[in-house]
Amino acid sequence: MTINNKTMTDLERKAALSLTDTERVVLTDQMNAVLACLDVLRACPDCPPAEQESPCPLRADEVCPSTDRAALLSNAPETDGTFFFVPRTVE
Amino acid sequence: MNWEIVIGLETHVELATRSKIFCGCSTAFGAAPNTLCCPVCLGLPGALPVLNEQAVELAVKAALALNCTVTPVSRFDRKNYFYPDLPKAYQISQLYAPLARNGHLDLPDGRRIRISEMHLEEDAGKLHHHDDRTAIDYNRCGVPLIEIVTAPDLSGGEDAVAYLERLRSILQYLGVSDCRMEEGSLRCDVNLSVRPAGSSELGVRTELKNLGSLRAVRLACEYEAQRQIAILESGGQVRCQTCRWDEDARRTVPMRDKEQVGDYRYFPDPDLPPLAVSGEQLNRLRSKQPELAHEKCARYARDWSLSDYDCTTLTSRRELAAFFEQVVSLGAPPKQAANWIMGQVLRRLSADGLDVEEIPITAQALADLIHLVERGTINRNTAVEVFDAVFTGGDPTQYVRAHHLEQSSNTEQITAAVEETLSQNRKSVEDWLSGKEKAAGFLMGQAMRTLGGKAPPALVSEIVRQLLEREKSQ
Ligand SMILES: [Zn+2]
Repeated sequence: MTINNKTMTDLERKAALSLTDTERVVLTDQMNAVLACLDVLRACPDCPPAEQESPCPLRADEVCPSTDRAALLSNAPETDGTFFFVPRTVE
Repeated sequence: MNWEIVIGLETHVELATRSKIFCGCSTAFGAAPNTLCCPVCLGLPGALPVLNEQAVELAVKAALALNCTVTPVSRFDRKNYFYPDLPKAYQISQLYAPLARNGHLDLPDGRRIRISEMHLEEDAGKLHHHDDRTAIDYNRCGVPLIEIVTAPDLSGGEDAVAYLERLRSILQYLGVSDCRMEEGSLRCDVNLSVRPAGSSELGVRTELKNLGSLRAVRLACEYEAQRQIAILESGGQVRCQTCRWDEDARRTVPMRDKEQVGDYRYFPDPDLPPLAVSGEQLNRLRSKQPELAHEKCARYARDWSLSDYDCTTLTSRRELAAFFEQVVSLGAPPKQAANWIMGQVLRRLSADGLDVEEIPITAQALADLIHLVERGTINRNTAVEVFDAVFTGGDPTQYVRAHHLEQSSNTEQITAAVEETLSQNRKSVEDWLSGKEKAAGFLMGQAMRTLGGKAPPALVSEIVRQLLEREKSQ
């Protein structure tokens, strides 16, 4: 789609603007440039073709050792060595 | 006025993976608090999620069994909310392109419940509220979940329970989840509204949370429906709220106005590329789909003429159905196998505190035992004794031989025993001759005792009759 004079007049009225002739030319050009970008984007495939390998890397379902609890809790604002503690928050 | 109850369910099911959805931490239940955590599931800066392929596979299996269309390319989104059960302050979920859509589940009575969508997401941590502070265990954080959302097609608490029971059976048969409500691996939120009967417009709904059992689901639906009806009948308006089920008080308690989707400021997760599920993968999973409980039920009824009750009991658990089919495949008549399993096997499991996953007797041993009865080697009473002896291990045939339990089909021997019985119980013989039919039963019992229980009852009974008839004609 492109912005022509008629669309511009329409937009001007809807946006409650009053443009000078110079502004009108500049804005029309700018808007057409933005729309041209959208056409470029539209040409990119949104999704990979169905039979292509998933772009999302997957890992095998294998258990790895977790991080030492003491190390993780060293970041806690408050702890008893077992739990993270926060001010009482009941929904 | 007559009111109609309208219910939709959102069910969260933990997937039976070994590791979490985006990291390698274990999903084991019941570990010491905060010992199954790492920078990824705690959302520490710089940590990046990598999707677990088994979580995808299990979710797709569930989607296929629920007759959904699997989205060729689905995406992950961040659901933002600030609550301490979520260390990242967002949950990785799927909103704009969920894994699957447009499925259905058929209730036992044939009604079709539409499933609007099913998506993958991560579970949150567990909070323990104390008087002055809240303790957090993040072990559950990052456990893979599927959320299954129905259309508002259910019309009461009983319906909701029927749906959940069937859903649980399907997911357990698929091995997608153990669906233990008491451990939280199946959790359900209810969306409920009421409307004048016959109206096509939906009323204002409330969302019910904290439903820890099927019973709680049923009671909460019943309570909430009555609460809404009372409000509307007194001229009030139902508020769109989230309510908590209070199990002790048996009532729903409003918690907060219900969030709208905009409140969560969803946006695509830039850490996770789109997830593509190929047609080839779908075909592979479709071909591996096991026979589900209701399909087995129909087959047992059709092929083996088992009653509804038998079929439902035997297929209530995948392991029980598998054991039954194995016994039948070893040549036991299906009805006999069903009776033994539903009677003695379940009795012993319950007495020994065992689950059906742990049936100690082998299918071969039970099939042998059934054959021993069928062939007349032992009678039913002896068989129960043998069953108890070999339940935790042993060979019925050997046991019968070792304990000399074979019953005699030797007519001469039985006749001699019956003659002895009649001569020792003349009073009963006279009673029978004077028309007291019951006396025959007593004599039969005495004869079985003389034989030590080791004779086919039908044969003994027949010989008792013959000898009594002979007395009559003398
Ligand atoms: Zn982790």
